[in-house]
Amino acid sequence: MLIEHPDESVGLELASILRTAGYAVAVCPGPERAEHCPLTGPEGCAVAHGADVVVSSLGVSRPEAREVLVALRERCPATPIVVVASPGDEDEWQDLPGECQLIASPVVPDELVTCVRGALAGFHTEV
Amino acid sequence: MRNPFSSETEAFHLLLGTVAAFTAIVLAALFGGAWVGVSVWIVATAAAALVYLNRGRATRLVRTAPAHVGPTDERRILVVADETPADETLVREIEQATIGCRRRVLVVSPTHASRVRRWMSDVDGARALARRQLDESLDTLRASGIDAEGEIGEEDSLQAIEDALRTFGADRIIIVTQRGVRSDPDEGGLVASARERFALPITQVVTGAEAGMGPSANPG
Repeated sequence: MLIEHPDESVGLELASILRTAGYAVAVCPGPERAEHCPLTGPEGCAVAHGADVVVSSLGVSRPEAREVLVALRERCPATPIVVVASPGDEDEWQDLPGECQLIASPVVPDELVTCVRGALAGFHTEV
Repeated sequence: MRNPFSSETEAFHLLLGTVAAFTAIVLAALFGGAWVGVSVWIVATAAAALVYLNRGRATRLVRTAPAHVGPTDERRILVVADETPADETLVREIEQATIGCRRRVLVVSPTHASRVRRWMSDVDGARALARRQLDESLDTLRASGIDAEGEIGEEDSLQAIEDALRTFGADRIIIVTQRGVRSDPDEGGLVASARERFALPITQVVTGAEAGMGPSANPG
C-alpha cells in the first residue's frame, strides 16, 4: 500500500489507520517535498510499481498532483488508485485520469479501510 | 545486510550495466591500449556513482511500515537498546504506549563493533557487550512486570530495526540512547535516520545522567 500525502503527520496518520487494518504501508510526500518524483521521471518508482493499492492525497487540482496520477495510471494501469479529494473539488474529480476510487476528506478511518478493501476486491465503493 | 535494490528490475539493470561497462573496458583496452581501458573504467565508475547518488536523492523520502500483526487490541513495541540498557524511563514509556490494550515487547540490542574489528571478523567482544545490555534491559522490564523478549541485533542499528520489523511487526519503536553518546537527540543520529525510513511512531528515551524523554516524533 502506498500513501501519498504532502503533510508528513497526516500521511503517517493514514498509514496508522491502514496498518491497524492489516496492511503494510509506504508513505511518500509526493513531488512537493521530494526534489523530484521518480514516478514522473524516466526511472519510474519501484514503490508505486510494487504497491497493491495507491492512496493519493496530493489533491486533484494541482498540476503536479495530476501529473503523478497520470504517470501512475500510465505506468501501473492495473493498480487501483484511491484519491482523497476535498468536497469543493467536484469539477476536478470528473476529469481524473482513468478510473479512480474517490473518498472525500476529511477521511474517516472506517471509510478509508472500506474504500481500500473495495479497491483491492476490484469493485467501486461510493464513499 | 541491507538490500540496496528496491526491485528485481533494478538488480537486472545493474547486471546489464555491469556487462556493458566491462565490454567497453575490454574493447577500449584491446583497441586503444591499457591506458585507454583505464580511462574508460574511470568514466564508467564515475557514471555508476553518479547514478547511484541521484537514485538515493530521489527515493530517500519514502517511508515504510509493516502490517499490524496480532489481535487488534494488541500493541507491539520494539525497543532498540542502542549502546545502553533500558531503565525506569523506558518502563513508563511502554506503560503509557500500551494503556488499554495488550502488549508484546521485543528488545533488540545491536552489536556495535569498530570498523577494524568488523574487518577482522572480531566481534565477539561487541556481541558480549550487546548481550549484557540486553539482559540488563530485560531484567529491568521484567522486574516492573513487563514481559519482554529479546535478541541481539545486526551491527547496523537501522538494519537491526528493519530485521525486527519483518519478524515482529511492531506498532511503535522506542529507541533507548545514552545522553552524549552517538545517538544524542541533539545530534540526530539513529533516531533521525529511523524517522526518515519507517512510517511508525518513534519515540526516543534517553538514559544516564540527566535522563529523560527525548522529543516525541511521529504522531500515532
